[in-house]
Amino acid sequence: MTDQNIGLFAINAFVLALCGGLYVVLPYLTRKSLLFGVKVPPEAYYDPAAQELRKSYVRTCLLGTLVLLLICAAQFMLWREWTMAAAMYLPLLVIPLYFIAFVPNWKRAAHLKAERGWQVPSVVFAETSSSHTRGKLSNVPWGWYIAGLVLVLATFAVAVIQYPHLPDMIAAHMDGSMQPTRMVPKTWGSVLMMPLMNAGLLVVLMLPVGIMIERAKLQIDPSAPRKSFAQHRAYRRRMGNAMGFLTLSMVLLLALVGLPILFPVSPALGGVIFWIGMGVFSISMVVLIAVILKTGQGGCKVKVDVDESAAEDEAPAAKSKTYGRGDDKYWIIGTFYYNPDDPAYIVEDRFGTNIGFNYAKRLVQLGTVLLALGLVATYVWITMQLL
Amino acid sequence: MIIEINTQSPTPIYTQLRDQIVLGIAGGRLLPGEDLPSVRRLAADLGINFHTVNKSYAMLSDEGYIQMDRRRGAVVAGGIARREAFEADLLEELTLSAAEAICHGISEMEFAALCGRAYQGAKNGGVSND
Repeated sequence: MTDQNIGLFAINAFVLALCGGLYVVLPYLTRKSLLFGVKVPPEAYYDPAAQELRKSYVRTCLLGTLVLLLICAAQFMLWREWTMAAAMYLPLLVIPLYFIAFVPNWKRAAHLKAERGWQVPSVVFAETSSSHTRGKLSNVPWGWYIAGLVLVLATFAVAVIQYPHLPDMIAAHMDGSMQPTRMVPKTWGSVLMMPLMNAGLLVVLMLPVGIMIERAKLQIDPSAPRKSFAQHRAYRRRMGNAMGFLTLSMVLLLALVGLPILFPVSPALGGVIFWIGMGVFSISMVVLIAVILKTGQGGCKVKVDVDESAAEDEAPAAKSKTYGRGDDKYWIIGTFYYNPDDPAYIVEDRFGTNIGFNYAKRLVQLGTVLLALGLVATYVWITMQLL
Repeated sequence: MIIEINTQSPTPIYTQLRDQIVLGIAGGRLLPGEDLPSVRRLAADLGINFHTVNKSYAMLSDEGYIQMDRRRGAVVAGGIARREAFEADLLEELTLSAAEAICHGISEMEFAALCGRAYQGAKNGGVSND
């Protein structure tokens, strides 16, 4: 039990440090035309006051992460038996930390925009070929998902074939060397549990994320629309493949971890199987983080070579540009998009590289409520198991 | 091609969209037989009401610039037939433009030269200001 606690403490501390680290880099991954969720001219990025906002945000994030890590360490030293509970609940505190660091700077950014009189062009863009292919989902890197599906179906087939040969009690929980720590009676439910979870992960969680990357409404820099579209293409290609690789590695990990339920293995072989799965999964995580850091929001860090002068000719409306305050009013505390007049469901976030939703849509509201209920139910269930 | 809509312009959005697609076809940025995005997708990407896009597509379809295919959606039309009615409309529009030009002291030669530049500009994908 002590070993497990040390492992949980290490994972807990790692998750907190990782979230803190990601928070710190968010303002530097965001496109230059967004300052804490407020739309500004790209040159405003270099305004000393804007730089000071970013620094203040980073200071709050670092301090907050440090406090969380200290709480985590104190809990482990003083109340070691609560490590499991801490591993469940402490990472939740990174959510308020985000708002504590972000919201005051969002307010300051809005003030700064008014004070400086910053305005942005009142134009919106679309690229016909991009809209067409993204509508058809023809550029989603399907190979990763098809490979994942084949793997999941294979695990189903193996489970069904192996079912008659299994003993009456099968493993329901295993340690790091794939040795059972808890046994349950053999039923179709318990045997097919892992393949079902794997299928759920692939179809309900990861595939929609892959589709969202392709479908999200693009944010286009009015001063360089061609460059923006080219960067977006690079972003979708890189992020799509990185998420596809992550999906396949997660499916592989679950498939490998589920294998010893059907074929009991020696501790040595079990350890190897477990670490192969974890190794591939870790590599895919590193690849994803590297892609996020190098690509930036919607590909804003990607260097592309496009002739912007030709774009001027393409857009007669550009010659009579009007300027305004932009669409800030639709972004509640600079974070949640709420625009009933926008038919888009999926939009690029205003801060960082994530993708968000248009919360004015009924379907999105329903999904958010279901997700929240699901999360609360999961937490209540696990907490009851702990008590 | 890139479509740019000015959300604050006095020109209605459906007209802007229609005009840009016509300019795209004339300038060769949209080719005959090319698929256009679906109404919903284009509306979502532009962040405008899909009825607006629908209206533009309906206008373009009525005027013969695009065809609405049940399976493929909106497609840029192949050869657009020359119609007498169109010439009459064009003459009417040019007459108004000519009248405005006369009021601004532009000579017939200058007006013809401007028309030539506009024609070349539309054909080559942009009007130069030289």
